[in-house]
Amino acid sequence: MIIHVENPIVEVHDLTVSYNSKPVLWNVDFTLPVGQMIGIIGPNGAGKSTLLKSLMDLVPTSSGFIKLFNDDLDKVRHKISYVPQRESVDWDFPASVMDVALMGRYKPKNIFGRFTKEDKEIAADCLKRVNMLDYANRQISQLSGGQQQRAFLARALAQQADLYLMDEPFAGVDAATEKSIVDLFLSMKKEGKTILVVHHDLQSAIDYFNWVLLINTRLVASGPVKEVFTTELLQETYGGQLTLLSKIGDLIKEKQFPMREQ
Amino acid sequence: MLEDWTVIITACLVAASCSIIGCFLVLRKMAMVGDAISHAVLPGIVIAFMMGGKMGSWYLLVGAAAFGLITTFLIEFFNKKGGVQQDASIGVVFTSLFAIGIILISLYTRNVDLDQECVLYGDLDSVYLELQEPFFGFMIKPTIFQLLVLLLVISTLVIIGFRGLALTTFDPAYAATIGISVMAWHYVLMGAVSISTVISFNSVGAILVVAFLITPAATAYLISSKLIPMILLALLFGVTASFLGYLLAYKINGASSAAIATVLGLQFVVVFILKLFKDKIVLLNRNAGNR
Repeated sequence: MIIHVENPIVEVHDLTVSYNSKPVLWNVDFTLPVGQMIGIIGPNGAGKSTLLKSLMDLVPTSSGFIKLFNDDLDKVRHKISYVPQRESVDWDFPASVMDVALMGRYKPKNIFGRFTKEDKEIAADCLKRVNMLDYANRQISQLSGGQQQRAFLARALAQQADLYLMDEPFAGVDAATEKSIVDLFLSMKKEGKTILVVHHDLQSAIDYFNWVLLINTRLVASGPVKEVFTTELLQETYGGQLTLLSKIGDLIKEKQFPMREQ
Repeated sequence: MLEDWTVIITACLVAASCSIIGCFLVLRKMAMVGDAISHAVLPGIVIAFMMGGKMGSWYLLVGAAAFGLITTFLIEFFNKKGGVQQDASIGVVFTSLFAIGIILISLYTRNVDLDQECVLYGDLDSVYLELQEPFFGFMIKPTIFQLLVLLLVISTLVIIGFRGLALTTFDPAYAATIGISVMAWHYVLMGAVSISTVISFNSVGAILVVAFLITPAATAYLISSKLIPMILLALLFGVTASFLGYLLAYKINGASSAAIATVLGLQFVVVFILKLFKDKIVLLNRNAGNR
């Protein structure tokens, strides 16, 4: 079940991505609405991260085309912020938390230049927003997993983008940090930002997102969480992991979708 | 006396260029790529030499830089396209190219001033024997002039390209998403390594070049929490090791290159041990504070 939208912020047609001639994404086709919290859900190895990467042209695609803001990626890069998985970088790198936040102010234009006072203020503001200003001068190797994730989010905020692509922002962070990150996302959504999050916990997905993509190499469903989170579609996404699924089925009935939307 | 200073200045200039550029190699976990390039440029040098260049001429530079980039490309290619592990790819590429260089030397340049010994170990002490030539009105030894230009180029590159190098080193995926060409920066850095290697190794040899590229940066990495201090510290370690190494060589009447490389190693060990002690003290203090 794939629901298409008018004036999509992300439009993907017939996307196929393979590694070593083994397909990771197969014939994926969807459109996404503006200003929503969108979850990309699926089992391990389903191609969730690859989907984000192919949106940012970080992996070669075998076929298909992608439009962001109804335009080519190269024309709208400044409106998009990509947050890679936390483990993808070396946190022993000699840099401070402030250095990381300031990287959000880099642009191809100012790569040879200097930071303005405004850049520094924006970076400091963003650190404050994720409660990391007190750690601004700390070396990143001394941070906990949750603090590292928040430093990454500060960098993303400093980009002042409209579309945020987050690869597993909740991986390896404690419950309190997860809560604060979700609150941050909700406040960003209120500002009209669109947030696309790779996530693999089904239970919390019901609470966090109002639009969901279910993928397992193929796109199983794309639509409002209420319509997509059915036992049938989840079963199609996760295959035969029945115990997990029946639990989720109970959960869906129990919660009756307590949406965060007001 | 003049002889001493000539050798020390030569060593310091090599040390400065190599330790600056080496910081980025170490942080990119590409230290062994530096090693590979420093060996694999040999065929380029020999070919340029056979085409009429003489030791230390600018022809050699072009030949070596070309082979440096070929090496970088081949390592990348076998690793990414062929699925060979990076370290294996490095090993295959540089030993083959270096061996080709050695064959070329033994076949065609038997009777001239280029031999395996010279390439591997260099001859720091012979810089003094060079005749001075005029450059921009100054009488200066050609090797020292080349090294000065190299240092100028490397410092300019690192100062102007600091953000690009730092960002593509720390988080290449992010850099790519904001529209910065990660590959371009990679090849700029590798080109710089190739040029540094070839200019330097005529005077100090391939082994000391590798020591200068990796060891000061690795020592500085142990105790740096920011990138700029790390580069400055690496510079300091490289230059002081040149002085101390030369003094050591003078005292024991040994080879300067080997003495300098030894001092670089000692610096690393001393800093490593000091860091272990410091970490322990910090840990003890923290435990005491918790009580």
